[in-house]
Amino acid sequence: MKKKIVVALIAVILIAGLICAGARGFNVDAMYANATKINAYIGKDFDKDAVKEIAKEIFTGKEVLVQKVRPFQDVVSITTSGVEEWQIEELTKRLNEQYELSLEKEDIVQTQLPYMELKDMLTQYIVPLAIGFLLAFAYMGVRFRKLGVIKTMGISIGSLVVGEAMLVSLYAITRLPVNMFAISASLAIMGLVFIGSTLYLESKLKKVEKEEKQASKAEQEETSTATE
Amino acid sequence: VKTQTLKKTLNILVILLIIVIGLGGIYVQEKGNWTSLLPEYQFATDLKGYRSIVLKVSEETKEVEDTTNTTEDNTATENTTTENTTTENTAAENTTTNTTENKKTEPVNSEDKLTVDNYVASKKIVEKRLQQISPDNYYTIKQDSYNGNIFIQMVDTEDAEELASVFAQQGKFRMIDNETKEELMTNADIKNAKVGYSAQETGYVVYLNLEFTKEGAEKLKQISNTYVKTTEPDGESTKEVTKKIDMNIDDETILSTYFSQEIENGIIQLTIGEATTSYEKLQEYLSNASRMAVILDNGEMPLAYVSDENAYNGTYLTTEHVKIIFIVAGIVLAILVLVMIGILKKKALEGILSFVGYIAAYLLVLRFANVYISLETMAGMVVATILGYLAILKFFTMPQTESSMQKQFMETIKQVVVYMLPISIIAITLCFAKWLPLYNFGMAVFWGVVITLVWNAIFTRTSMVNTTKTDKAREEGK
Repeated sequence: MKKKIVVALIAVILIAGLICAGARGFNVDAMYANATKINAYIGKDFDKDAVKEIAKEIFTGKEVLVQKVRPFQDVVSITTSGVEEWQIEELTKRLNEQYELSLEKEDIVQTQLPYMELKDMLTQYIVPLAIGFLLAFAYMGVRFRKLGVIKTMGISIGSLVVGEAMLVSLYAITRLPVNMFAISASLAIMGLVFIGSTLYLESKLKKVEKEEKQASKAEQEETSTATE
Repeated sequence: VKTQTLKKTLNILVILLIIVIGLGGIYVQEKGNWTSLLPEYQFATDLKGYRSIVLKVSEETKEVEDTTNTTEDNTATENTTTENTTTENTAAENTTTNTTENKKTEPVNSEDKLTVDNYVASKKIVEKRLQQISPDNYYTIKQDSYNGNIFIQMVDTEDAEELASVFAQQGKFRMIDNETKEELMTNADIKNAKVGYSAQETGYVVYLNLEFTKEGAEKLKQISNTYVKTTEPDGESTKEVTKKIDMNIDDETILSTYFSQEIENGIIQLTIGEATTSYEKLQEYLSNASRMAVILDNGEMPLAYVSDENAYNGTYLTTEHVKIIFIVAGIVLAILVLVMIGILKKKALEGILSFVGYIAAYLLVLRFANVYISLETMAGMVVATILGYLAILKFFTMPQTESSMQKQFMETIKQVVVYMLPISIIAITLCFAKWLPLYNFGMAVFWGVVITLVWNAIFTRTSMVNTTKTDKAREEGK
């Protein structure tokens, strides 16, 4: 029963994720989406959090990334999307107020940033991970051969796919920004799923071995009774 | 009982010491400042910052021969030369004037070259160069498909400024006749470019070895027989005539030379700089040669680019992000501790102490092993924490009787190794990955596995042995 509830819950999350992703897409962070980078010269060290607050108020509802540009950390770089002229004017005004500057709208440098192609983002990960998976699955196939290679592969590969799909679904449902944390989250899920599936298969194997032992014991007892 | 209690106390004190050092560090006061005696954490680009380089498709113009007026101009040249036969110098001056008149300006990237295919091809070459030259092999690259501009983020180093110049170069290699300017060899003839150095009497000499393709080698053989120094009769005496080649990269001559012997193996060895005994000079020559090798090794970009931005940008992470990371980590650890209390009950305190000690020891090892702390390392740390947690739970829940302690311990170690093996295999594989984020993740998990085994074999085992012996001694005392 418990198993059925868990499976049903997973199915619901996956379907909901699929629908959300299809209908609204993902909330891709300004780091990976088409965005505008706005650079302004402050001329002195400044509080990044304070500038982020200002930027958030101006670029309402948009993901805003704020960076300090070195070597002197006196240039602020704001990355966001859908920038309009009045927002640049407002930003100039607010920065002037906050840091007692006399910036003109023309002093703000804007650069259009293209989106990051998934291919470009993931290419470097594919080969090393594929080799690692291949070796790990080969070990699992040998270690849990008593459970059946196909069953073992099904559980280990299936749980990995479901784990990652759940993460993607959560991103789609909750509209969490797909940002620099996304790959790390995916790697963490991968590691935890591997530990979980190994523990599960290990418990299954123990059960099978216990049953085998009991069966052989019963067989031995039967043989000795028959001999007597 | 006293001896066992003493041993147990000592074990706890050592664990506490590791916790204090691992989580707090060791600081000494030096000239009024507190200095850490432990190696500092090394932060990666996502937590520290990165070098941002923007390459823009060049809109510059260049001067070229105006082929539309060639016939007219040639006639003019001939006429001028005939008219001014009196002195060679006047003729030369006139020719120069005419040459200038024959030039026109045109964009370095003609309109018909500005295609998506050429943008993509240029990006591929920049990426290949990045793969060869990027420090720690970590970068991101993206391209604006509308205008071909390329955006690079890479690890920052001291020579990042110079490295950036490599990406903007078109990499147009030409070997030309020094006089006629006839093209003899191009990038298509280069198989690879490698850097080498050798020790000589006067110091170290840095080389750039250019290996040519089969066809290129054949051409080179002919060139090395043609472009030589010869002696020709000049009236009654003889004169030396030297036919030279120019080696150009992006229309800049890097070498003008002739050959003293036939080159059969298709390899040219170019000396970079001069023989030196200075370490700094040697490094400089090696860097120059490496950059040249990277440019020549990856072909010619179909378009010319210029470096539009080259700046060091700080991290995107704000105090808010750091707060969230700490809050989430705190909540997860609190849940893990509560579950441990529920499972271990009486032994919970020892279990928690061992778990916190494990985390502290793990953090210490990350410092000493110089593991770069990135978001991927943090993902590895999450996996390592769970591995250590599960192992500690396994050890503390194993049946504890003094007689079978060793056997049980070995059995539990075996069980722990078995469930850690698949993720360890992946971690070890990733430790060999060139891609920094995967390497960081692999290293973080690998050290987690090692510390889990070592920590439990030393501290958890000692703690359990002491507890069992103390309990037994107490029972005997009763």
